[in-house]
Amino acid sequence: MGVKTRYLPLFFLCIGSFGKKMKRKTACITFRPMVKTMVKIVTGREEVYRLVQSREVSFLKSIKSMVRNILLFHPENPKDPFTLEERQDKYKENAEEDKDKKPDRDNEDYDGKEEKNQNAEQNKEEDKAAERQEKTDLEAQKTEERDIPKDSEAIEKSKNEKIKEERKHRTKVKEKTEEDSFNGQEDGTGEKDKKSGKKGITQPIPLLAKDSHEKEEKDGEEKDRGDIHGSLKSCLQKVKQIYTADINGDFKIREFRIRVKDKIYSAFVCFFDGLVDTMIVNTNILGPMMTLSVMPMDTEDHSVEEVIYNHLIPQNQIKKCKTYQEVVDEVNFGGIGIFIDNLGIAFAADVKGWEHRTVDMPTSELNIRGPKEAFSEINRTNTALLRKTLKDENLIAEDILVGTRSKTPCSIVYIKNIANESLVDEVRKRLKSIKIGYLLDSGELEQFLEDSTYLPAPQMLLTERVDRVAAYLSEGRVGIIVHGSPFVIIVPITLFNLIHSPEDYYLRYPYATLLRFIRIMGILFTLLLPALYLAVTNFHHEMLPTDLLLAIASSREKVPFPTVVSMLIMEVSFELIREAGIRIPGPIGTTLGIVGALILGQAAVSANLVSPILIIVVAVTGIGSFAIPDFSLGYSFRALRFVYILMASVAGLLGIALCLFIHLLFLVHAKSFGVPFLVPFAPKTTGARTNTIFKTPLWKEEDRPDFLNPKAVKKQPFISRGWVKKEKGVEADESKNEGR
Amino acid sequence: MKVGNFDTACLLLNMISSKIILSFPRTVAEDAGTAGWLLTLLVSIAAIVLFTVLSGLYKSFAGRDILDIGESATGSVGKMMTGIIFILQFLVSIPIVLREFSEDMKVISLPSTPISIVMLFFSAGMVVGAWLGLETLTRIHALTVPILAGAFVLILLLNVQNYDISRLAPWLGLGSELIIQRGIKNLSIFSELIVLFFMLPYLNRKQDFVAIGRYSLVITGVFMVLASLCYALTYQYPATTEMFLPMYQMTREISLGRFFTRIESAFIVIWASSAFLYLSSGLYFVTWLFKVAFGLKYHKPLLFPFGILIYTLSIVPENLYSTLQIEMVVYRSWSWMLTFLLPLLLLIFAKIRVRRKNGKEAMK
Repeated sequence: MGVKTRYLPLFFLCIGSFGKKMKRKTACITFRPMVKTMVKIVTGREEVYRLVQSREVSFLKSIKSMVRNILLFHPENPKDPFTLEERQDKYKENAEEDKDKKPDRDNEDYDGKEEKNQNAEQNKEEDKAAERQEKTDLEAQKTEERDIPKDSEAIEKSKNEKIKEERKHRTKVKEKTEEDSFNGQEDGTGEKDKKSGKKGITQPIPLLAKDSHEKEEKDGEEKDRGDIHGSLKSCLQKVKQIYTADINGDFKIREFRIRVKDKIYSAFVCFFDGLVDTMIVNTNILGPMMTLSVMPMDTEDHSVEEVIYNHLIPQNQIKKCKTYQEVVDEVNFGGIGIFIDNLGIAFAADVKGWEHRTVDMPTSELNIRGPKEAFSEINRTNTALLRKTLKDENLIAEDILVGTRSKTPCSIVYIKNIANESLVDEVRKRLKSIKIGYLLDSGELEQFLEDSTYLPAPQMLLTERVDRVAAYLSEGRVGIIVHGSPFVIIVPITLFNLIHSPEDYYLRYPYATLLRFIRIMGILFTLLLPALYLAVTNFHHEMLPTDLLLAIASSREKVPFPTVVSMLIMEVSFELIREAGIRIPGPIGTTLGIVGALILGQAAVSANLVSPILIIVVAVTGIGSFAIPDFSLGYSFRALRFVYILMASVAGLLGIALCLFIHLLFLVHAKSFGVPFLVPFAPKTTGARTNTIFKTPLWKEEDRPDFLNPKAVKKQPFISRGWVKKEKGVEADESKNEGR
Repeated sequence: MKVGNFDTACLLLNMISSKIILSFPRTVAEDAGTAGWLLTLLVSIAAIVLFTVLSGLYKSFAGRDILDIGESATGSVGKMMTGIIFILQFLVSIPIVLREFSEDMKVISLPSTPISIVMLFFSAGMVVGAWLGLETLTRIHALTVPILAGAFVLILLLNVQNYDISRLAPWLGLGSELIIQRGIKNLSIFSELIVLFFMLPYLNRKQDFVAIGRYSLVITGVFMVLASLCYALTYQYPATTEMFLPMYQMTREISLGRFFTRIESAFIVIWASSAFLYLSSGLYFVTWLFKVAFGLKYHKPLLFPFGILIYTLSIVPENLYSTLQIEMVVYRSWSWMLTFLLPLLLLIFAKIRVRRKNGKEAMK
């Protein structure tokens, strides 16, 4: 054979080995038989083929090592990459090491035994640590057993069971983490670490799993502080630990002794100084327990617990608590915790007495006629005010705690034989489903309960007037009282409720109707007046009478800005003055607002920045916004008027029409707890559409709103004024109406 | 989703009557001269009669829309074809209306603004309205259509001083033959009645569709007759054939003392509202038809593409005159067939098929 032909078989074998790297099937089908036949053709001998095949492996190895050395070549270690002998040796060493460590993913029999063994070793160490802990716990229990009387053995047994369950839970969690780490290795992460030389790699627990695990532990701690110990020392220790008594300055503990059934028991009370009424604590809690306990009582047949509960704590609201959490909840809210030695339970009494604002006049809903009582920040005071107004035994005040940390007491108030049950259920469901840490105000709660966050109109009514809430409850609506907020939430509402003022009901029909028109005019001015001014002066001059047009033109002659710019300057200034006026304290605030507005306006006109007519437009717009009864609705229109101004500057009345159309679309689309926002007009309901825009006389309002689907639709009879003999053909005497 | 009777009636009223604001009084004046009002009256009566016939056939299919009936008559392919036909009908009428309203607005208040920008305003309102659904659309119709109707009546009343009954002579206008001949073509002014057949499944009580249709047609007919009559009373023929915005011209005639001399722009808000309502309803029904015809689950993803399509189609005519030509010569010639004849045929075929099925089952 010639030189060229000598290397032919090698060439074909390289191709064949390349084919071997391909999928086996294709290689078997194409390359190997091809190579074999070629070799046979060239050499005429199968033996030569076998010889060459044996050399194939070494040839390939050398090529591999050469490529590898080239890739791993580093100037710091300028060894000749082509010194195959050294590299081959190293390769051999690495290969031997890797053989032991490398997980062969292709190998289906791989089951990760090695990793399991490593994890098992770790588990052994952890188990030993757990055993040590168990021993210390048992020792602690033994010391307690001496003090625990026989009656409380069952309690101790249950505690031991709980401890055992906790340990089981911990071991289960460990096993899960081990599985996760094991699964992580199969994804190949272990391979990288093994190349760097680390052993025993476990997949780190994902952060989410950790956090949830930590959260579970924390929640568990919060929820389950445990049952009350029988030993007073343990109780005292636990209470001090819960409240961090060494740091907490206003948390007070008073230890004392009481005598019950000729035995002296140690006791202590705990409370927050500032939250409790100290007179009640002294006279109704400490005094009787310390002094009255000495008096002889016929209590031979009663247990210590019953004697204390029935005779020694003359307080109207007292509760027996079996867990620390119950005591904590009461103490946190102005109660007092009473612990007696060897009882295994504690008492919690309501001795609230913190400083609070008294019932005052409403700050945001002022009126001339009608009651002037407003809600305060105390939940119970507010429910009491409602009960005082609505002396109805069917008035229900359901208590719900909202907020995992603040545990803010909220009350759902409704009249059970009027309010629709599905509405009450919906309110209850939404309240119970809220998961937040702190709830401080009804304004925050409103944002959690509303149907649409982005709607430019409120879907609930917040009011601090007692009479208003009472009126809405009697219609079949539901109220939500939030402790710490003087504003009560009323649901469901419509746009017309937001336009109504409570004073409408205390004024005669003509005056109330007139005031409603003025209010509606104020709303329209707030929303549309600046935009209309822009549209008319820029696009539709022909609408203005000639004299007025000339007056406007002359006043605008010297103003360098376009009308829209000067309008925006004045509107923004007005909003700034209004916002600043709220923050400035006392009478200076209102004075500064008025003076500032006057001076600013006058200065702007003198400087030819704006025209005088524009000042009038802005001023009327601002006054119109003050005429909107609902605070939230006022904000909504104040914000939207800027959109109207921009659209009017772009397209005149067409822009205003587009804004009105889209605004109305969203209002029609909106719902408040399932009730359409513009009912009874859209949709048109079967009930009367009285008392929406026009005020109806009170004696004519016989029915409750139809869209609320109340249980009792009729509010009053057709002839509600008994002294009237006949009305619209209907006789007051019902016997005369027969046959009609 | 349920829709009230009054809401549905208001939707129909606006969809059919919105052409009063456009060029309807002029076109009937072109067709019948001074007897345009008479032609409108006859066409309204004919539409009521035809609807009565259709509703009689429809009673056995109460609660089913026209596409379902198409499926009963001709199978699923027939349903698809029916849907495509109605989609094409709306894809001709909505761009025409969009273009006409935009051109009118440009002439009235925005002469320097490019027509594409004016159409963008209308398109934006159209898409937002259709997005919020049929329930919202019908409710906003219930709120605004009475106001639009009141404004329309106000325009007619404020023009009383300009009416002259002698302008109605000759009473038969261009002749009774032409009235009858062109009256058939003018049935197309009620072509939007087909919308009622799409809304049947959403009515609270299915049987009420007869009353809804009848009342809508009567009130619409009254408004259209009044519009053409008052227009003919205000302007002399043939001047009535030269004004491209008849109602706008009539509002320009309104003069209340020295202060309110030109208040026609005040009605722009009302006309624009009518346009927004028509366009958003039209877009909603186009996408609804597409969804039902092709068995899709949702129609909202189609709103934006169809909005763009309608916008593009409305830009195709060179000017307002071309748009009006397309409307009068092309669309109005055949749209009445789609509203009255096609449903009639489908109902007849469906009835025959149902009877055959029932007969076979009885045989078994």
